[in-house]
Amino acid sequence: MSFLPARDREYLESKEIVFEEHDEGGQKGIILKDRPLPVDRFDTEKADILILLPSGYPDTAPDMFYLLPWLKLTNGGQYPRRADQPFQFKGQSWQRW
Amino acid sequence: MTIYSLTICTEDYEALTAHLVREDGCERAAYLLCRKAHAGIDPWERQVHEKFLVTHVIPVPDEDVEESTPVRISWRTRSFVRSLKEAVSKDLVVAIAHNHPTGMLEFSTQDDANESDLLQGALNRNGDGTRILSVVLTPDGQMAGRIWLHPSGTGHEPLSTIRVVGPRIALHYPDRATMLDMPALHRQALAFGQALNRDLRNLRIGIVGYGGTGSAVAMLLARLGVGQIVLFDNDIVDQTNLNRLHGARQADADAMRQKVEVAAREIAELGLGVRAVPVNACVGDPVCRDALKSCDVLFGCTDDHDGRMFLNRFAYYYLTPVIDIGLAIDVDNEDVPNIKALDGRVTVIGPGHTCLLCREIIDTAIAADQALQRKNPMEYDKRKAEAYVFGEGNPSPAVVTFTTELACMGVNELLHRLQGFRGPDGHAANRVRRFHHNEDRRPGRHPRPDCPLCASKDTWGAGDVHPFMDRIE
Repeated sequence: MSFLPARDREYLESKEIVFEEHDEGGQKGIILKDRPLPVDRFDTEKADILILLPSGYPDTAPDMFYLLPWLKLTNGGQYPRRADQPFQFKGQSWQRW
Repeated sequence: MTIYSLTICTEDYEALTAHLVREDGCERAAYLLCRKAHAGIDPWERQVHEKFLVTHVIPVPDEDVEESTPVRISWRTRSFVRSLKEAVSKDLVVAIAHNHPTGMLEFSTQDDANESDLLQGALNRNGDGTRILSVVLTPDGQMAGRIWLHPSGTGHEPLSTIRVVGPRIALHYPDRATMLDMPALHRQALAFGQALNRDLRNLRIGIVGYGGTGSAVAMLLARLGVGQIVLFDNDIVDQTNLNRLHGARQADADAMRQKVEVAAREIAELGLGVRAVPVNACVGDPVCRDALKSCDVLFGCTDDHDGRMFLNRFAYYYLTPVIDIGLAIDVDNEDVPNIKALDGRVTVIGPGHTCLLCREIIDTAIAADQALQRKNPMEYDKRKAEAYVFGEGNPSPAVVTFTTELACMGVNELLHRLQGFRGPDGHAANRVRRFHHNEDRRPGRHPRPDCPLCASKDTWGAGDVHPFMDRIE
């Protein structure tokens, strides 16, 4: 059953953003599917974006987000600073931002 | 037998009375659109408690009124059909309200006949099982109500209570004029009248957090004769609580008794006929919901930002005034500490009042950390190691005289809102007592324009929604 507040669900649907809701041991997150990324900055054009919704959201704000696949900068071929930590969710290793 | 009750905020109540009660002394009518709050078990009556929460007042337009006299009204029902249509699409219940200019606080046989017809219309349009409510209002603002049920033996059941909540709290219930008074409560009736004693006996009050403040609030409410109290706390009595926890003894600490169990014991032993129900859980735990929804008023006596943030939402979604109390003692590191601040606060939240988030009383970052620590201790520890969370500091200073004084301030705020002893505009939405400066302040704050809770009526009385209170658990 959906855990997303009605306001958020309506917003995402109105923007035609495809999303999935996941609950892993009480940690709730939404995955925005196949989102376009800024052109020419990364080595990938699209990625799934995981946003963990903290307890108390929307009174509390999400902290950080996670990407799959992992991205590197086109300029230099490195992970962006501090975006090199893995986070396990849904059996996959996400890139923490 | 199910308990039915109705809550309306002051703004809607004033709109309703302005439409119904006119100088011509004739009957008028309006519809109230209501959301629902379902409590599977009312903690005191051990029955289902269904609360209806008014979200909109829809006047029957004057041009639709066919006949209006001091004892009769008839009107075209096209506005009723519109309300029924809205009720289906938004999962609402429609209440029909009209006034009795003669002052009769009961439904007449004429009302029975009219409302039967309207119920039939509702059933025809919205299907079997559709319920409607009806409310009568007298020129002095008294109300009585009932719920029409179909099918049922009698056709309708009375509303046990109608609450008007806002700067004042008014309770309307069938035996308000005739309930017997208790000798033990006689002396306070000498100050405030019998009606207050009856209101207190009728009240259902929840106390969230049983620390220094919560324990004082509980004992004060019990001695005032509040009929129904429910206590929420998930902690046990600790030796370090004994300096301020009213009712707790060393033996309770040794036995590691739950704080709420101690509270219920102490209240029962007063022998004032006060029913106190202990709930050994954090307020955000789903096991608390039925009890919370069953309350008329809540006291927030927790020092937990997450719990306070939960109550902040609850106050608006469930039209339930929350009297929130906080104490902050800030000292330096000297051997004999110097007081930097010794501030106590009583803040009332709920319809018509600025919320705790807009007042910047809740730190949402700390609230999120506290929730994370409760739900996912491993992730919390990991983030703590990376310095992404604040971590708990040393225990904060607490002195019984200040926690108890704040409890008195909070309970007196409730007494004024029920009885009005401070006169018009005597309510205080936020009172800060600066103990170290020996002065009181009443800092005002406007809602942030985009606040979904207190800046507009949108969420007032939203009641049961999924997810619960539109928030992530």
